[in-house]
Amino acid sequence: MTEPSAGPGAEAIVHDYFSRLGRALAPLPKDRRDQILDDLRDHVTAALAEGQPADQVLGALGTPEDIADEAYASSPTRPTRHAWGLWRPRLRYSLALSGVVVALAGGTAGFAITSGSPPQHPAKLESELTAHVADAESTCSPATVASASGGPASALTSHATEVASGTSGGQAWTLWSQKGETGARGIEDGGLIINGRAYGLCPGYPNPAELELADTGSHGLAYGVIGYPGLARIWLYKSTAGTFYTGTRLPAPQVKIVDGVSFFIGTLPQSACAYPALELNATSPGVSDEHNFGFGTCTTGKLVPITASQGIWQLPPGHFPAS
Amino acid sequence: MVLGGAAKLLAQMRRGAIEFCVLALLRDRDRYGLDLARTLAADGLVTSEGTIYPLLARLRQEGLVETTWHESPQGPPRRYYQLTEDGRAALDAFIVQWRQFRDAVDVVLEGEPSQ
Repeated sequence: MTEPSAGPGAEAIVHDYFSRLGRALAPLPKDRRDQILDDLRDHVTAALAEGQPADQVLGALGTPEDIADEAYASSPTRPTRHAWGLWRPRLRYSLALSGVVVALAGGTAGFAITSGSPPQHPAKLESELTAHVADAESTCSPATVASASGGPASALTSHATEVASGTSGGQAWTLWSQKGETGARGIEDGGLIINGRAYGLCPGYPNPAELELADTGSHGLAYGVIGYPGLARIWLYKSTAGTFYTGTRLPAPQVKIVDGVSFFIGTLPQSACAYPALELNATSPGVSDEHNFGFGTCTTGKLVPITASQGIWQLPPGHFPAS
Repeated sequence: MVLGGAAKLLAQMRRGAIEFCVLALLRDRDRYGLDLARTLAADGLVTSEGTIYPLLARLRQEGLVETTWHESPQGPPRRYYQLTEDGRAALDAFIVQWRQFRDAVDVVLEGEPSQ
């Protein structure tokens, strides 16, 4: 385990803080307690990612007892201090805590926090979504190195298993999943072989959708995976990096279920060099997500490097509010 | 005793008003928790940043705010809070009531103008 970037002993300090907080909040209803713990975990993770020392971050938060007092002050069932002192933290708390600790150890907090404790849903949809839609299981990190893409197929076939195949724009492709893994994770850790050359699938952000743009000929090739279960509907648009602008709509890519999630691939009307940004909107059963990718300089035979990426997910089906 | 009572009353008033301050901060743009907490702490409306999270959890449960996840250009994804239609209606109603209350109190506190 590497030394946390948030200062010596940061992991232990955060662990102790959340242990106290978990005990202090234990008598609250589970959903309310989990929301508070998740929010505080996000707060701590974001502040640590800015480089603040852990003791400073926790000092600004206030004591766990102060936070618990505030929670009970507005709770319809207000327990006494005596009562909540006797409770013990439960499983959900442990998950939330593990996210923070892993984030500290990893340095790049965002990757760890999503795998340790998945994003929450919008309040009005929470019960509905958790009943039907699992959180996307994406652990995409580190990012695909575009300059190293387009190598021999053996670089991929040696550690992956073929899970799908087809053609797009006259180019044959096969999709490969990392051996020993399943779902979106396996595909992200595997990759695509196009015309005998290997390409990865991992822009480097832990969100439900991954997209790559390959410069494999006179027409660009966009492909990716939607991590939510079931068959997704996908819309691709020309866009502007750093926005969620939906410009000219591009031909709908092929979409198929692979290992329970959606893999998509589509040939674009122009060369990959003609797309400085793409907007990807996707609706899976019960949930939608929207993403924007900015691209750098294209090189024939390689992936176009992703220079910007942003996304919103766990949206109501068919809703793309930022577009 | 009088001072202690006043301090307690002010604490209760602050607690009552703070949720509408949160709604007001979300009126024009979505914000993430750390941003909200720092803004309210900087304005002196909360003494510690963590105490707004129980309030945010309650506002979510009451349907006055909702959240979505956004990627961050630096660091982890962030949960952004946004005002719902119910939240906007609650804020609008509070603003009307608050201004009437504030004006009435000001009139009494400042006394009748001298002739």
